[in-house]
Amino acid sequence: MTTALRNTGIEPVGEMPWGTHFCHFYETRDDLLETLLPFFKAGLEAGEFCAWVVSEPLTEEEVWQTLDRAVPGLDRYVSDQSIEVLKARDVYLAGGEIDLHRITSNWSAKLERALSRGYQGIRVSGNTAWLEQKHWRDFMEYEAELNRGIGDQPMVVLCTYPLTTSGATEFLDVAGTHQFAVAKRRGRWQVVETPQLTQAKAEIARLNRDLEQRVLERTTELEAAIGDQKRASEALQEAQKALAHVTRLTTISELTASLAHEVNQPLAAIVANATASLSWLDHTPPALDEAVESMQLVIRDAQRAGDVIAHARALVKKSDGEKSLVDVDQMIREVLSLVQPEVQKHAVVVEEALAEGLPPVLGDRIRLQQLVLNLIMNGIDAMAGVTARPRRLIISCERGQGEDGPGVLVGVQDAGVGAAAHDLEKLFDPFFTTKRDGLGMGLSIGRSIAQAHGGRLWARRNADHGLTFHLLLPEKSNPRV
Amino acid sequence: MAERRTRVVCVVDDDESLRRSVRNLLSSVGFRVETFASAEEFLESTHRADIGCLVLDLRMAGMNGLDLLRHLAATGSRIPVIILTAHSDEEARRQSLGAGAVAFLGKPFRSDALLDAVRTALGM
Repeated sequence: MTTALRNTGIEPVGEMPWGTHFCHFYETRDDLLETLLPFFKAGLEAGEFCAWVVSEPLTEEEVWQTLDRAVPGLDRYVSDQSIEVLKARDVYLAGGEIDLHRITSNWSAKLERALSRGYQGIRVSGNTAWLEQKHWRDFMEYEAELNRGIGDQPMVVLCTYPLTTSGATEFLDVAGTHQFAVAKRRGRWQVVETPQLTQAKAEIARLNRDLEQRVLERTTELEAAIGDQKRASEALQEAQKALAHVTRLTTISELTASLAHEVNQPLAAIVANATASLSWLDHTPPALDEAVESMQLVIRDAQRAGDVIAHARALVKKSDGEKSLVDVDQMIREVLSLVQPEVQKHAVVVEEALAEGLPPVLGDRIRLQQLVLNLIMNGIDAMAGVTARPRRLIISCERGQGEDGPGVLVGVQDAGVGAAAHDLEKLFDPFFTTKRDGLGMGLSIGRSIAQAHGGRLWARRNADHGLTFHLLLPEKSNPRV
Repeated sequence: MAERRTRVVCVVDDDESLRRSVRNLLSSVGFRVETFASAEEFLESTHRADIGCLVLDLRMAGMNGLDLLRHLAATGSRIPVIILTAHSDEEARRQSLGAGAVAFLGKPFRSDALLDAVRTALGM
């Protein structure tokens, strides 16, 4: 049963818990309507099943008309049978007698039905203007029974009594069989509370304060915990970025000798051609065509040196996490041009099988380059000790199919020492390395880069020698994104 | 001024721009120059009698410079060899000179150092 308080819609009563049974003494027909219309409006709007038991001075027809004016969207409540209007005599006097058990079991059945239909509970009001003196005692017995049994039921019951026919005895009987009483006389409210209710209200207020205090404390604790977690997560991300950068620099430092070679080649050519140009001009007569051609070669080689530096800088640059459309085959070619000296140094033969016209992927270009660079360097390293067969590295790039749709599949196949089947997954563990001076982070970071792009990175053993690393990146077919 | 020589300076380097620039430099001062993209290509023309000296890169695909140097020594070749390399560490220098190279120059090199080495190799 929900413990939320129910809005009674009655101003001096306000919100009450389920299991509230109270009475209302009214003077005029308007006093009665001004109490019951807001009472039922609040119930309907709170998802309660409502039953309005009428007798004089109101008829069923009048009740429907006044409800229609007071409750917006009444049609909906009527059509889904959220409210019913019943005749008091049908409810209480069926068979000409007040049968306490029949009436209470009827209410129980109504409650059960309402709950099974998804209502939070039921809200009832019954008028007693029909009561004759001969039924008074039986009816009070029914009220007392209801008052005893309602406490643990999702019910709010409001019984209405006309002041005009209630003497002091009747007033005392009624007040004694309800939790409290309210009266409306000539537009003014009066509330008569029993001592038990006053005590219960104080207890509720205390419990509410306690609860609020506990909610406040818990909220503060949670906020602190969330703050800690957020800071930890930010620190972790920073650390991961820094580690990725270190791994990248480690790879780059392995490449430094190759880079020096790549820059020194054009520099040597520049010096030779520039000297030659001066020599051609020193001829008699000056060999102008040759001098000009020499200077053109100087320019070409200077540009080549600049390109090498630019590539290297792009690779050591810290990623800002910015994503853009990346042509994977083009990106692989750039990385290959950078590792060319390393390829030569290790007498590796690179075979390219790069399909043209592949769809671009949306990604962080620098980090994807780092990933491909790591795979290629790993392949070269894996073949360092191989002498019995060609050191063949096959780099492929083609359309692939992932679980979530089409993608670009990159393959880096070496003919190296390979790995045992049970070690294939360990390759991606942090700090797992077979190299003497390796950090063991390359593949681990590589996999996290792949996953950050919604892709996958995995390894397979080749049928003959070595491993093939597969990188699947989901394609970004919509260039507007 | 142009230096007129009858003997050919052979340049073996797998880098096209390097081959071309060394040929240009040597030609500009009057040397006859022939270039080869690999050690294997050069070996096909060693029967020529007019080779004056060899300018040789060390790190090349296929047969590398050191292998060619040792091969020449083993076959009794008397062609003086000048090593021109971008990987000019001590080990490479020691190995090259040990295998009979007459000079060892790192890239980038000074033009006059290469010209001097060639002249020396040609006995000028």
